[in-house]
Amino acid sequence: MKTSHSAHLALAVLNRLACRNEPLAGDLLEEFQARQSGLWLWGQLLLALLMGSFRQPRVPVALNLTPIDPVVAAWLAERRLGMTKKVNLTGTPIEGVGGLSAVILGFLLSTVVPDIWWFVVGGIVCGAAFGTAMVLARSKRPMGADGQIHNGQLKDLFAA
Amino acid sequence: MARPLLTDFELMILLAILRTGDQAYGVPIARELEAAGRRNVAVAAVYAALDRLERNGMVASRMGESTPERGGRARRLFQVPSQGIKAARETQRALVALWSGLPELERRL
Repeated sequence: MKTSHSAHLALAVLNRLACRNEPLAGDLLEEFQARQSGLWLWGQLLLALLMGSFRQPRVPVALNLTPIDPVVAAWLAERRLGMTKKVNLTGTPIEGVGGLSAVILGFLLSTVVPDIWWFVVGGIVCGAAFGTAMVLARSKRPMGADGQIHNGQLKDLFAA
Repeated sequence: MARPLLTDFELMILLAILRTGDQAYGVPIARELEAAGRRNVAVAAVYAALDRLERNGMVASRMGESTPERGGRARRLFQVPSQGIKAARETQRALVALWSGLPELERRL
């Protein structure tokens, strides 16, 4: 059987998910053998995934109702739900200041203290100049042909 | 409480199972639907409707034999019990009642 790369990939995904709905996986495989169309298989596979046909069946869990102290319950909830660990996902070093907050902050600075933008632009220019100077200083260091500093050259560097 | 009527897709699936006979599983059912409707049918959509019909007692399923072209996976064979036949007849009766008395539709038949 000659199959394209995309069909191979679709078959691999299908085999991976097959244990969750064997009759559907078998039907898709059987029909793919007849049609020999990777596009058809991908379409059917994506629709099956969207419809949740390969979703893991939920195993019912018995409730374990135990009388518990409120303080212990709060501690358990914090521990189980992981509420104590905060992760900054805002893209800025300041927690809670994300994209929209940064725009609002910029708007407020522009309207209330527009002169502060000189400091911001100055900071950016100074940072770029400092970075360029660092790159230039690094490029003047003695290095071998392979781009590494060797022992002999290191001695010269310290002597200078 | 009145028995709920079948949707058009559910009715088509029941009819496809009855037309296919003893070996009614996903592929021949989807092929029957494609031949009748002249459009592509998602096998997953067929299974979703079959699961819903089975929960309502309109179809019954059992596991069949596995074949090499299916990667050794078993077929799920479907049949329509008497409750499903009754539901199909009631849906047909409702559709025919709605259909009748519409000359512009009768002419096209």
